[in-house]
Amino acid sequence: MSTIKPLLSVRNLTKRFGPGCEDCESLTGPTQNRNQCPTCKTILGCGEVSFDLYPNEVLGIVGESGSGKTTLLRALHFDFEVTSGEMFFSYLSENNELTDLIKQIQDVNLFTTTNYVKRKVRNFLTGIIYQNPLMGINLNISAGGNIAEKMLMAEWRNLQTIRNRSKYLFQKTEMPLERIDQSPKDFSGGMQQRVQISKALASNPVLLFLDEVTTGLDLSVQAGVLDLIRNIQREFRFSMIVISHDFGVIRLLTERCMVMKNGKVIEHGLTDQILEDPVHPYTQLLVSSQL
Amino acid sequence: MAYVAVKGGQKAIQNSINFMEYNRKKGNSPPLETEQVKEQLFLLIDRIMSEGSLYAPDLAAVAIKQTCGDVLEASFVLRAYRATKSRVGYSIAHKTDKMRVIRRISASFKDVPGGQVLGASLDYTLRLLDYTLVKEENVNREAILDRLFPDLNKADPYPDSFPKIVELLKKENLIEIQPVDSIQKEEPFDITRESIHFPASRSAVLQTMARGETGGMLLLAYSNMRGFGMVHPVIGELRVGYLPVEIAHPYEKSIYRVGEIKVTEAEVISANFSSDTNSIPRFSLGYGLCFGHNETKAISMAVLDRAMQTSQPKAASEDQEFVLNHIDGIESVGFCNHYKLPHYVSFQSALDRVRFAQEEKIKEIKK
Amino acid sequence: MTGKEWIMNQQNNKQTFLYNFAYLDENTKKEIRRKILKAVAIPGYQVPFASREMPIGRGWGTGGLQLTLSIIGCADTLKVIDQGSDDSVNAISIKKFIQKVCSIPITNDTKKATVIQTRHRIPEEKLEKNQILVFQVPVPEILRIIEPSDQVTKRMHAEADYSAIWLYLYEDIIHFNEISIGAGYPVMVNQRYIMDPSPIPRFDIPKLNHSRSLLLFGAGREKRIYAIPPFTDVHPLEFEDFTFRTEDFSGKTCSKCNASDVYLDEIIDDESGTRSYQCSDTSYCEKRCQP
Repeated sequence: MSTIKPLLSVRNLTKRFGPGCEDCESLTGPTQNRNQCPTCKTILGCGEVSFDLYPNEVLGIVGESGSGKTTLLRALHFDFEVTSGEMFFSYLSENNELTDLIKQIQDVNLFTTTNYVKRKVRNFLTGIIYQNPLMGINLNISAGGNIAEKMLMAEWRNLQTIRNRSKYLFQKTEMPLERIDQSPKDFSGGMQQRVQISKALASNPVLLFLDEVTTGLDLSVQAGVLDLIRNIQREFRFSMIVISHDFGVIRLLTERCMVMKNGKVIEHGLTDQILEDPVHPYTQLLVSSQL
Repeated sequence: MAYVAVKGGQKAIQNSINFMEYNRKKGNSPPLETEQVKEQLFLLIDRIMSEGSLYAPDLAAVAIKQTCGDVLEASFVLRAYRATKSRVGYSIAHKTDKMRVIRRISASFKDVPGGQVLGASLDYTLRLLDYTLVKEENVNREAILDRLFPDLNKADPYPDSFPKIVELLKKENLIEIQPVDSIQKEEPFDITRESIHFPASRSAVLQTMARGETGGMLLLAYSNMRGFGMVHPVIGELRVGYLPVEIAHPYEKSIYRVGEIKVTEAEVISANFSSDTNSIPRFSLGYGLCFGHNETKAISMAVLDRAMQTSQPKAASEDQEFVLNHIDGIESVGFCNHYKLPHYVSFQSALDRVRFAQEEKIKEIKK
Repeated sequence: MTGKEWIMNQQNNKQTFLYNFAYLDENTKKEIRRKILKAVAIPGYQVPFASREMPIGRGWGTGGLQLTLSIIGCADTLKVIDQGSDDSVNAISIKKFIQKVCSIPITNDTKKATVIQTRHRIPEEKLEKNQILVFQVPVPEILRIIEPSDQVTKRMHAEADYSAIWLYLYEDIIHFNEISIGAGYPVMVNQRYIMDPSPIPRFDIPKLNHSRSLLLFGAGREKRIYAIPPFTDVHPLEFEDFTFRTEDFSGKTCSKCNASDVYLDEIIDDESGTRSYQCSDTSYCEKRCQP
C-alpha cells in the first residue's frame, strides 16, 4: 500500500461548536467521557482526527450517537468551517476537464481554501448520501431533475447524456422508470433514498460519503439498499467513507474502520480484525453488545 | 391601438399632465394655501416628512398640494428633493431623556415617575363625523383657548424633562441592554450613501425603518402581534416631543444648535423572556423613532425592531431582509406602478415561448 | 462645464432652476463613476451602490438614469428609447428630464448618439466603440427566479453555485420541451458570472457578445450597477443538444419598411382583428422609410 498515494489525507481535524477555552482540550474527550466543556459549554464535535483514504478503498467510521462521526463527515463535505486541521486531495485523473481543478488543489489544504474551490471539489469529485433523504433531494423538482442536478453541478451540458445517465441509474437502483419525471414527494422512504443514491453517484464521483444511509429505513429495505451500494461500489470503483453506529453495516461495506468516542478516534484498523479482536474496552463493549 | 406605439405620444403625455393640473384647479374654491396645509393637516405633514425622510414642513406642504394629497406621491417628491442635497455632515446623537415632551404615556405601569401626559391625541375621540366642521367659524386663537380650556392655568408648564421608564427597568436588570446605546459612539451606517447589505447593522435597520411607509410597517408589525411572530408588546413608553438638532463645528469643535425637530419615540417591551438561554431571564426591548407625530409608525417600528432580533426567523416580520426590503413606500409604489409602462417587447418574447411550447405539446399528443 | 458654472449660466438666463448640471451633485456622480469602474473591472458582477431617489418613479429607469447622468457631459449627444421606440412614455419623460437638467443635444438617430439609454431593447443598427449603451434594469438578480434572499444569491455568485438555474432550464425542457424564460434570458459573462441582461428579447442577446461599445446596467430600486466591457464573451445558457433560440419571426416583415431581420412588434387591427408587424426600433424603421 505504501507506494500508492492516498486519495484523501486528513490531519488533526478539529471542530468545536462554541467559543472554546483553555480547558476544552483537557476536559473533553473519551478519557473524560464527555464532549461538552464544563467551563465554557463548548461542544467538541471531533478532535485531532487524522487518517488516509486510498483509491477504491472503503473506510468505516463507527461509534454511538454523539461520538462525532457525523461532524467529521460534514466537515469533509465542507458543510461548515472547521476549527483547525488539514485536508489534501490528490487525484490522478484521465479526465481532461478536471485537470485545471486538480492542479488548483494540489498540495492545498482544502479547509483553508476559498468556498469557490471547496464547491468545485464537492461538485466534481465527491458525492454524499445523508441519513434523511430529504436533506439530499428537493421534493419540488422531479426525481430525474434531482439526479440531473448533480450532473449539472459538475457542468455536464448535454441533455441526452444527462437524461440517459439518470435513466441508467434509475434502473440500476431498481426504480420504476415511468416515475422518473414525478416528484419524489409521493415516493416511499426507501425510494427516496434510492433517488438520493442515484443523485450522489450521477457525476461519477471519486469519493462518496455515506451518513447512516439505512438507519431510517425498514429492516426489509435496509438489506436491499446495502447490497445495492456494495454492488455499485464494486462496479464503479470509487472510494467511500461510511458512517454508521451499526457494526453490521460496517462489516458488510468496509475494509478498514475507525472507532470514535466523544469526538476522538480511539481505535482503528482492519474491520475484520477490530470485530474479531477489539483492543479498546469501549470497542469491546460496542462489538459485544451488537454482535 | 396602444398609446405607446402611436406617434405623437409626446403630445398626449403633455396633455395628461396638463389635465391633472386642470383638475386640481378647476373647482370654485380658492387655491389651497400651503400655510393652511401645514397648520391644519399637520399629521399628514408629519407623515410625509417621515416617509420622505426630510424634516421640512413647508416643503412637505407644497408636496401635498402638488400631488393633490396622494401620500405616497407627496413623500416621493420630498424624498427626490432630499436626494439632490449633498451631505455636509452628521448631527450629534442625542439621548431622548432631554426631549421637550408634548405627550408621554406608559402602558406598563399605572403611575409612572413624571406622570402620564396625554397631550393632544385622536386616541380618545369618538369617531363620529363632526358636521360642524362643514361650516367652521374663523375665530382667533385666544377665543378658541377660552372656549376649550376655560380654567387653564397658563402659568403651569410641563417640566423640562421626564425620566425614562425603560431606564428604570434597565437599572433593575429586568431588560436586556440594547446595542442602540452604542450607536452614538460610532459613525452611523448611512443608507443614503451606501447600499444596505445583510445582515444589516443596527443603525442601518433603524434608519431604514425610520423612513419606511407607515401602512407597510403596520401590516408587518400587526402580523407579528397577531400570531405570525413572537413579540408580545407592552408599551414601555411612548413619547412625542421636540429634540434639538446640534452640529459640531468642523474646526472649532464647538457645538451649535441649529433647530429642533418633532419626533415620536416608542419603546416596546416584549413580555416574553429573552431567547438567549445562557443568560438570566429578562425582558427585551424594541425601539422606534420617527419624524413628526406618528404613533402608529413608531410602535410598529419598535415591534419590528424587536421581531428582527429573533435569532431563528420564522415569520416574515422576523426576517431582516424581508422587512427592510419591502417597507419603503417610494420603492414599492414605484415598482408597482411601473407595470403600467409598456412591456410589449418582453411580452412578445413570452408569447413566442408559449406558442412554441403549445405546438410542441400538440405534436406530442398527436403522436 | 462644472456644476457651479452651470448654476451661474442658469441664473444669468434668469431661470430659477437650482439643480446641478445633470441633476446629481458632483459627489454622487463621482461615487457612481467609481462603481462603474469596479463593474467594468469585474464583468457581470453586481456592484452595490447607494442609489438616489430620482424625480421619476422607482422602477421607471432610475438606475439607468443615474448612470447616464453620471457619465454625461456637454459634448455628448443622447438618445433614449423605451421598448425600441423613441416616442414612448418612459423615453419621453426621461428625455424631458435630462434636457431640463443639462440641455445637451438629443437625437433619435442611433448613429449620432454617444450615450443611449434604453429600456428593454438594443438598437438594430450596430453600435460603435465611441458609444455607451445604458440599460434600465428592473430586477438585476437573475437568480431571483430560484432564490428570494439576497444573502443567499450573493453567496451563490461568489461560489459560482449555478446548478439551480441550470436545473430550472432542465425542468422546463423536460416538462414543456421549451424554456419558459422569454425576455431577460440568463447569460454567462466572461466565463464567470451569470447575469440578467435586463428584459431585452432573446433576439438581442447575441448582440451582447463581443460588443464594440461599453454596456452599462443600472438598477435604481435594487441599488446595483453592472457592466459588460467591450469585446467580452457573453453567452446565453444553453445545452449542447438544446440550443438557445431567439424569437421566431420567420416569414414576417415590417409592414412599413419591409425589414425582415429585425425584432417586430405584433399589431392587431381594431376592426379586422388581423395581425401585422412593425419594427420595434422606430428610428431604424423611419430611416429605412426615407427615400
